Amino acid sequence: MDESCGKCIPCRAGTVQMHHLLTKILDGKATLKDLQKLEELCDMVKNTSLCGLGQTAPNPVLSTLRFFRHEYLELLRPESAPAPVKSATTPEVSTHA
Amino acid sequence: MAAKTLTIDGKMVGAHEDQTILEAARDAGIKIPTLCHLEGLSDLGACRLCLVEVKGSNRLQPACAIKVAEGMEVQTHSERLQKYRRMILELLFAERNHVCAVCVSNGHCELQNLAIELGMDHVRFDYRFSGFDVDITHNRYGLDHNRCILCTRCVRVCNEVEGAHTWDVAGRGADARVITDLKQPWGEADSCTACGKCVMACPTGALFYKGSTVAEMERDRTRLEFIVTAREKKQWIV
Amino acid sequence: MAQRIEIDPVTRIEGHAKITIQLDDSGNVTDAHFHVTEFRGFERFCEGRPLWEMAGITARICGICPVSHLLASAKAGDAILAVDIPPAADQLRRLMNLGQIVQSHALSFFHLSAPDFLLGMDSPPATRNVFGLMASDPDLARAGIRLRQFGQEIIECLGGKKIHPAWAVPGGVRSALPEACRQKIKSKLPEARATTLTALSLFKKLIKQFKAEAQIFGNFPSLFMGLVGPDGSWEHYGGNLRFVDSGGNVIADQIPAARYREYIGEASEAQSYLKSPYYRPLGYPEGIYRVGPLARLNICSQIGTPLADLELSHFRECGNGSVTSSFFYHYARLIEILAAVEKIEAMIDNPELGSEWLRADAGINKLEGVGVSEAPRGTLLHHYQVDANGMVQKVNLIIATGQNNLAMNRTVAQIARHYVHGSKIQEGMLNRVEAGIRAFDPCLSCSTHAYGKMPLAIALIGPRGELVDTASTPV
Ligand code: SF4
Ligand code: SF4
Ligand code: SF4
Ligand code: FES
Repeated sequence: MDESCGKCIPCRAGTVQMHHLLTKILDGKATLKDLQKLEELCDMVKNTSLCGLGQTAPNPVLSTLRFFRHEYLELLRPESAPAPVKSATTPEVSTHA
Repeated sequence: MAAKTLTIDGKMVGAHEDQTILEAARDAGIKIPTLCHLEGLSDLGACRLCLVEVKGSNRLQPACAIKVAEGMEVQTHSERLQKYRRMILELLFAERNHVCAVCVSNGHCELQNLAIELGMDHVRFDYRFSGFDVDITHNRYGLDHNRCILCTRCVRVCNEVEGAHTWDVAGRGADARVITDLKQPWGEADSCTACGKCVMACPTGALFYKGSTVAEMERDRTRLEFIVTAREKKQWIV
Repeated sequence: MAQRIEIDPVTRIEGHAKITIQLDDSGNVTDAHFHVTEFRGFERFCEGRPLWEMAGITARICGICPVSHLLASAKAGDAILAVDIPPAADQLRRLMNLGQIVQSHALSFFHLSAPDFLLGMDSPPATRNVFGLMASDPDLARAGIRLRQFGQEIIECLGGKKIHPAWAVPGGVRSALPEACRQKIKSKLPEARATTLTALSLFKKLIKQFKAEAQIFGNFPSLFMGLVGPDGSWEHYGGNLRFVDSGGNVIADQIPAARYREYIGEASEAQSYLKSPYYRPLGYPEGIYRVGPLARLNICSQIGTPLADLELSHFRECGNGSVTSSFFYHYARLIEILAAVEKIEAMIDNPELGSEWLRADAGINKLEGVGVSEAPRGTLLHHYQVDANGMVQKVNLIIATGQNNLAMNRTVAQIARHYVHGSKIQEGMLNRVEAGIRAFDPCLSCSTHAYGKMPLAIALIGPRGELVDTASTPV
């Protein structure tokens, strides 16, 4: 999000919120709802951003969500997540393109 | 001037070749939401609210910036577009501090109107509580960064219509802010002619006439339109 | 502080007004505290905002008396612009404040307090409300509701919406009274007057039955403060401050709002977030004073309208010098409705109300300003400091309920002394405490919570800070 130029809204404000949601997940404070929000947000930022930066910024999140979804799920707040399968390492996620 | 025929939302529409999709749609009575676009100013496609689906293109296109083409098939209000638009508005509301109830523009704000129109009734993202400064050093106008959506209408109107080029954008990403002259207080910006065009152009409560109280900031866009028509068409229609 | 921790289980009950009562070794009540909500956040919130937004922002402080904040704020703004507002604006602001007094007092009397008087303090809570009143005296209940609407309509006619009209601005007001509204208000005046007179005569009949309450409901000497006109007459918007003691002697007079600091000190108590203002020359807590309807009638020499002045002379008979029982806040409230109705009658045909000269235009000419108005519940002060551009640097607000804070505590303690024996909260205590606090009509959201029912939680605290007994009204 430090790379966003700030001209278009999805990239300028969207990456900030992506970062915020990811931090929330890493801190173990997120719920399943936050995860869904994150996915919707990534989809929107990808499809509406003005230039290639915003259009690709969500890719790391989207692909880690596709391949390591269980790791995200494990980090959700206990009451909202499905029972953990095994303990996992923290996923390395970045909002940068 | 060649005419083009296209369909917008299934409706056959005729347009001049140099018109944008937005203009063609407006002429056909189809309203596409916009924020950064303002009649008479150049377009830059920044707010992304006017995005439409054009058949044959896998990317969404900003209607304010894309010219019409023969046989174009345009969708302006699909479920997906409306959802994106709502989310863009949510991002804007969360980005800074929009407390409509105590805002000078309450009831006369384009951002607020769009939220109502598009049914954005709550913001799911956490507010960033910007807490930026308010600049009321100018003796006639004020700027509240907390309500600015960085549409740059002020930048463009000041540069393109008034010719003063007082405004610019400094910083990037979330740190971007509109600035006057070399980032000095507005009251000390020598280039400003105090013409008030930026205040007339601003869609939100970010720019206001000093002395405005809550919900009092009604903008007179017709004056801006008058100036633009006079300049471009040499017609002085009052 | 240890005591505070002990009462936590009680204070946590949401939506309840919280009361703690302190006992000594022999089980006697030594002290009582009525806990009210945080207020200072708002003052901080205003810092860094342009002066012109203040009226709109502060009107949001209180959903119950936005008009009073609006007026005090606009007056503080006038002071900073250093202007005399156009005469029409002065009249229009007065009209709005009179409307506010009518609607707020009508709510307090008919909706919240009348059920206690007419149905009896110990009648079941389920029917001791405006609906119960409706069943037993439908005409009175309906007339009361209409009287409140009448006041609200005046506010609406001027401000545009019922709640939070950001209509008064530094330098004047935003719009005049439309002719159609003038007609409407005029046509409803006779009924408003009749309703008020009926309620007054009813109340006077009831006073005799409530002799006991009048004795113990916050009946103690204190000072009284409020605005008076240049000749000492009743004021609600203009004029200067006056302090009167319980003997009815004027001890400080014609104090301009700007000098309030010389006379009013503000103490903070650990138990409450609310500041407790006191009369500075006497110190804290000896300088306890009351504001609001009772105070306004105690300090004024006359009201200036025939019927209200007649009532004022009857009211004076309830005391010796000043009327000291808080029970008579109710009586004072009714007299003030009458005064407001008469004042509206007197001004409604003034062509000024339709004037186009409404707002003085000026920049910042002073860096500090104090605005004062009489809210229905008492004197309200707004004190702002701004920079040369009009950016607000510092805000101090003195609200009516804050000024009555000490008196409310004392009232609760006094009632408790009659109803607490040993270590038990006696039957009837909750109702009495509720009614005692309600006499002040405190502007807390909980005080208007539901019709006729104030959720209360009381904790009895023993000499070593231990929780002895609790009682709370069912939600
Ligand atoms: S600028 Fe518009 S959206 Fe923002 S607070 Fe003001 S009225 Fe609301
Ligand atoms: S008032 Fe006119 S000259 Fe000054 S910044 Fe605004 S548009 Fe530019
Ligand atoms: S100040 Fe107003 S016109 Fe300028 S960028 Fe901000 S919102 Fe747009
Ligand atoms: S109006 Fe087209 S992108 Fe803003």
